[in-house]
Amino acid sequence: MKTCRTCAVTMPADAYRGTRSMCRECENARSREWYAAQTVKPYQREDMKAYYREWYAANAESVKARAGEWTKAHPTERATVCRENMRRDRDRLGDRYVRRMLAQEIGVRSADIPQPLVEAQRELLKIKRYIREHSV
Amino acid sequence: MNTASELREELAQVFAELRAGQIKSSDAAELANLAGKMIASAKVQVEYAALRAVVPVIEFLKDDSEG
Repeated sequence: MKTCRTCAVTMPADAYRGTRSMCRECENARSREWYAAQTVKPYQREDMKAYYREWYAANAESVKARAGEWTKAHPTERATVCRENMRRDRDRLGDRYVRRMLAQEIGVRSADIPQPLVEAQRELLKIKRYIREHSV
Repeated sequence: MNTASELREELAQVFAELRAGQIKSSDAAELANLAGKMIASAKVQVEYAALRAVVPVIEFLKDDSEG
């Protein structure tokens, strides 16, 4: 048994990572707090984007193979996941949704839409949605 | 307001004021309409660049961080 130095609760050793003095729950809460405080999320940083690209380039085949296997094993879930992702993206006006909307209107590929245009369009959509949702 | 980034900031400001009830919906709608026109003209420029198969060099769409 060990007492967490943050929440001061005494817990068994498996409630801690290794020899740390902060319990898992407090560590997780601290991580969540840290993440929420980041205006630029780690996945948005250029160095991390480069890392992801590099990692994907090296592992694309295995990722695609695993995704393909999962799709075969879960044919209906796949459609549900796609729908859910699209719905979430639409609700939060994600980059992908706004890009796709602009790309369809202009008739170019999503990747060819400049980022500043995506961001301006997103703010515009926020205002339009708000007015539509709050108009009597 | 010379760039899309500045337009975005302006729109974000309008959205914040709208939510706070500091401006009327009708005024916000007018501003949104105007912003829509600016965005539409930028879209035409992007489309034109795509048709010419060139990388667009559009002042309005330059990222502020590009200097």
